[in-house]
Amino acid sequence: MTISGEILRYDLGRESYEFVDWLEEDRQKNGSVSLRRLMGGIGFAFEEFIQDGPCTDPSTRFVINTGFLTGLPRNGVPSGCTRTYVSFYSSTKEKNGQYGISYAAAGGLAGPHIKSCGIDGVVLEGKSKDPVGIMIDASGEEKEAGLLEMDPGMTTMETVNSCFDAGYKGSVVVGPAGFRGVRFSSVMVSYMPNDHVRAAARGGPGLALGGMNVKAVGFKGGKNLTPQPRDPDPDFKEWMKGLNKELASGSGTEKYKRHGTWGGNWAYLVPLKALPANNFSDLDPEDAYKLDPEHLREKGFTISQKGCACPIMCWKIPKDPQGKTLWKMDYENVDLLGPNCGVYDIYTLSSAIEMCDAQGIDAMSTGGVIGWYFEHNKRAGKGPTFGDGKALLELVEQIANREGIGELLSEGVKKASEELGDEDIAMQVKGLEGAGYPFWSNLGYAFALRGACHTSLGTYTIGLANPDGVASAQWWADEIAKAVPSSMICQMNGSCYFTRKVIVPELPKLVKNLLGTSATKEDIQESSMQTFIIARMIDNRNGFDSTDDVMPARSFRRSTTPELLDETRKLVYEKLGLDDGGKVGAGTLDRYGMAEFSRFL
Amino acid sequence: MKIVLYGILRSIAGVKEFSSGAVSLPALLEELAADFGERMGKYLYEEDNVESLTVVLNGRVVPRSRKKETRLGESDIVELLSPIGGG
Repeated sequence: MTISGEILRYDLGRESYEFVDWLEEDRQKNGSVSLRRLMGGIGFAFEEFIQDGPCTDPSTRFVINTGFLTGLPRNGVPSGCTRTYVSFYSSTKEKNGQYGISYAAAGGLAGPHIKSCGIDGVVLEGKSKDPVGIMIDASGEEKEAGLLEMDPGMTTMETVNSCFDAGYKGSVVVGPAGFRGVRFSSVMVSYMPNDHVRAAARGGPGLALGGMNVKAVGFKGGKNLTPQPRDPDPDFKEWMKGLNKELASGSGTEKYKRHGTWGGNWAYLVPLKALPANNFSDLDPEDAYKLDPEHLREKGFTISQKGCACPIMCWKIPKDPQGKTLWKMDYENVDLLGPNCGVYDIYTLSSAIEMCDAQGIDAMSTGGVIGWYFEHNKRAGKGPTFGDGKALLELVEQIANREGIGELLSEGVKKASEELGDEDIAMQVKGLEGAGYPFWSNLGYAFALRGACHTSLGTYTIGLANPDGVASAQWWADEIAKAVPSSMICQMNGSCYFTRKVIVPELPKLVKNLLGTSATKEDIQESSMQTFIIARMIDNRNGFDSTDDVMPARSFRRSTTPELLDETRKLVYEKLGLDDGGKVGAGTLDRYGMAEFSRFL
Repeated sequence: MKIVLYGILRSIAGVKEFSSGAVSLPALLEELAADFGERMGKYLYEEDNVESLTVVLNGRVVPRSRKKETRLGESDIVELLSPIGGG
């Protein structure tokens, strides 16, 4: 199997830990091990939260884990599968002082290093008295986990490098912002020393982990501890070579390699006049070409990702004609800190994104909240507004430090608009600032687990491509019901989201050969629905219901109306088996083969 | 009729735009596959990307359900886009 079946449980309050055989634990508890737990990611993690009571503190429990495909090709898994997942009570998803569940994920090399410690992940609870790094060392005869005092003020890159210096090759770290209480703080995942960190950013995992006083979790692997498939079938090995070839050079990933998400989305959303600008108010910015990678190349920039071993290469690094290398660029960060704030200067954006990464704040949420603040100021007729690049950089710094207006903005756009007004233009769902797609094109946002996140319920491109369908509640309900399991499955196997077109259809074969168990496409679909239902139960317990499956006023454009959302909501609940209030009931559990969960209702 | 390519389609074709006399959208896609090398044909048909293509005809998105029946005229401008999916 490509999972070890062991997990580290660390109680920070008691300073005690145990490496646990979770497979045996599950067998004793439930009589068997579920497919969702075997596959990993949020399929494993959410169940760790189900027995908690109502959550009034996001720093109650935190899971860092992997999927069954997380690893390196030499470990017998497909290439490009390095995913590390974090699951947590989300500081952005707050209702009446209680917190819903969320997750974030990133590539990098921490995931394979977790596996090389002979564990599938780490479950943390309680709080450390002082800021610490939890250092997991499997290089000796016995696996050990020690605490190392750490300076909470170190940037994420400094923290990653200090872990490398101490011999820990993989790490998950929190920036200074996570210790200062920025609601949308990220965690960063290491790759190589002195390399860019990868962000698992959405929903405030940095605040949850920082609130436990954990600055870093480091992993030092042991020899031959990475689980590998035992005597794989020669035919399967040959098939895997073909799969890796497809991942490296097939069309499923080619567009990411050639254009990155930045160039690819620019080439899609600009011609469609759907690129969000000026706080999602203007979807046809005339200055968009200034940030088009094609335009920048014509001006003498090189935009590449040289030196990265990842076969997907979704982000790109621009170098200007004078040879100056800028920070790494993803679509969401460029759009949300750029056009969404009316800023079209590549150098300003590079500095803003670098600052977000270093301080450990979600660049997407940062762009969302600043875009809203610029429009709020424009309405009020005072203060910095769209296009002010200098103010953008100052605000990023103030948010990270929680200084001046940054203190309020660091609470996120929902809280800031409750305080200052203009809630109608606060582009968030369940407290999470929107991704870089028009809200009108994705009614799925209302039902997405973590809020206005495109990967949490990926119905945004089909909305853009089906202008007629957009007016039909039945069409939306059908698409959303299809997208729930397909979005969940991308977060519970260890592969990169961008390989989904290649990997997801092959999951039955991969499960059989790498987990040693048979699973049909339908079994896998059911497991992903079960994972969604578990999350929904946790959210219901924390007060979330149909009144939270809503979207902000500015979402309603063209044929997308509040009435359409109301009608869609009813149909979605029917299709998913939720009650009229959006809650999981005994009937829901029966429908998904989860009767044993009725004790948690 | 003017055809404008974006993203991966532009990369594969090596041109930003070209002229076509195709009378329907399916015919245009077949022409694209035939005229722009083996890779384009493979991308469109063998790798099953035709359905996910977004087609903009004279500034309006053609719904997926109507792609097969869409007729084209001499003065039309057709933009062909491939969604990236995520970012």
